[in-house]
Amino acid sequence: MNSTQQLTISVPITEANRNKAKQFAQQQSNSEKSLQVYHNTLAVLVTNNYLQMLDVQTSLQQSHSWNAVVRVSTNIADLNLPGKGHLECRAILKGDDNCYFPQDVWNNRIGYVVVEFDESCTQGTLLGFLPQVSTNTINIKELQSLDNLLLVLHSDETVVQLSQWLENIIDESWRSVEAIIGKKAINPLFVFADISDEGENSYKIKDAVGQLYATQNEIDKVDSDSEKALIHLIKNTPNEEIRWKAAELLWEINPENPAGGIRKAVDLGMHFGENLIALMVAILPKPDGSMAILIRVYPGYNSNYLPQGLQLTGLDASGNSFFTVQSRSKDNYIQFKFTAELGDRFNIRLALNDANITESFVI
Amino acid sequence: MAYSEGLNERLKQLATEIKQHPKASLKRQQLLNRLIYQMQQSGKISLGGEINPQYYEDALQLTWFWFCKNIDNYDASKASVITWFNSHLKFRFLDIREEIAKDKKTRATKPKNEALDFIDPVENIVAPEKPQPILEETLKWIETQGSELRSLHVRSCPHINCQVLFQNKLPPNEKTWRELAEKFGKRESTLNHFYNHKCLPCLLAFGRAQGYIDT
Repeated sequence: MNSTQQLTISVPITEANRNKAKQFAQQQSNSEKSLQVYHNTLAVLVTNNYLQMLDVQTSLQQSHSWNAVVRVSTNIADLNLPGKGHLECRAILKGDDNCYFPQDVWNNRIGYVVVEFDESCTQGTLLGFLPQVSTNTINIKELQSLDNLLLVLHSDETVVQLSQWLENIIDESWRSVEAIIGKKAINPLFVFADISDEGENSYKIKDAVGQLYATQNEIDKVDSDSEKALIHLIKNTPNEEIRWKAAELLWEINPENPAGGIRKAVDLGMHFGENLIALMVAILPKPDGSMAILIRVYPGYNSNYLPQGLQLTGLDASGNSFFTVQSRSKDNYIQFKFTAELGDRFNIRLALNDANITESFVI
Repeated sequence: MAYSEGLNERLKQLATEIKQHPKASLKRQQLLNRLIYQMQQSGKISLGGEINPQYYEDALQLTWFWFCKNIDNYDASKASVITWFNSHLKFRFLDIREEIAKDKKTRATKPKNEALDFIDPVENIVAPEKPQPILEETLKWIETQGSELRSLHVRSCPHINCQVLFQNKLPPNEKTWRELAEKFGKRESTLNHFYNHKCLPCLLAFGRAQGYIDT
């Protein structure tokens, strides 16, 4: 057993496993390379057996290390997990403190496990996990718990798939904005307006549409009908700000119109004690196929102001922050807008004092 | 004894809790991880006794697969987790013993190097002196597919292409990324990124086309 007190799992190596490793090793051109392939193959097989024990789907045939041409060419020990990616399985011998990670495997991996072998290779022990590697040798003391591997394998389950929203596939925790925050504070253009009177409301919108057209000069107003004029603007303006303003007005007139993209909100109140907080995400497909994204945080049902010091942060797939906005006293909402491509991943973190919650998204 | 009772109680609790979570769920996997770890650390899993060590791992692996798959059938009122596990393991030993007995009757001699293989498998890995056909074929492909492989190159550097990188990364002339970075005056990460995204897919496709995917 190694000196760290981490959770480790031992997996028996059967004779069939050793024979497979030997078969691969004998395809190599020198004894050093043979031994490398022998250990790589056993590390992959041990990890494969371990993941099968835990009911995780694996595919040896989809693994690069199961391709003989790649094996003779590269020091590689990946195991494919269908739908998730490639997990690298690096071998070390009992008694060694450092594990070697060839540069060829620093990219395109969902993570790394380290497998320790006894002298006779009758047993492999999974020592731990690393989400990323960018150096040749790593001391086994730096390994994270195998539990973190499980977290990574399950992280996709809670990712909100925004492109599916456009096809109306939406998890029920995400509801209409009206249902989450009440009618009143939906549109920032009308935050303080009394919009109870139907006729007055329509007049105000007509006015706002006229003003919106007047603030730009690329697109001419061709229709006197507010809804049609807004759709024309959304489809044709090259200006992001104008597009969003037009979309917001369209939401006011006809929230169901697909030209306004889709927006949903989730109640995050339970994470912040007595503060009612709602997160709204809106997506608006752009003419070039990319997606305009609006992230907005509202106070929850029937309250007017956000708590002061609430921080809204956007994090990219590697965890680097790409925006941060913080509420001041008496903010009705805070927001951030950006553009993303299909397949892009990002996380939105909301933090207030000691409490925080992160939601994951993929376009 | 007190320690052992405590251990048995803990294992029973874990096994009972695992059953409450759906198959392949995160919680179930985390708990199963913990249960396997504690069972292995207890030192109470049967070591096989009389069984030929050559077959012990087979029996043990089969038992672990069975255990993880059938944990829902575990009845805490009937036996401790370790006893349940060990009794299944014992039956696998018996199966194997029976098979060997049958085998001996039908086969006159056994391959004589089997025992040797087991004692030190690593020693027995002798690489042939000549490069194997797979490598030879791959090297040949790199030459014959030259124009295609040269068309894939680092942006505005046609001389740093897939063919050249293969010639420098494959045996018998493999070089480190650092050596190549110096040779081509590019960052290691640039070359490595290019290799992984452009060159490796060519190798994978060639391997597939040659039928070199093992099962």
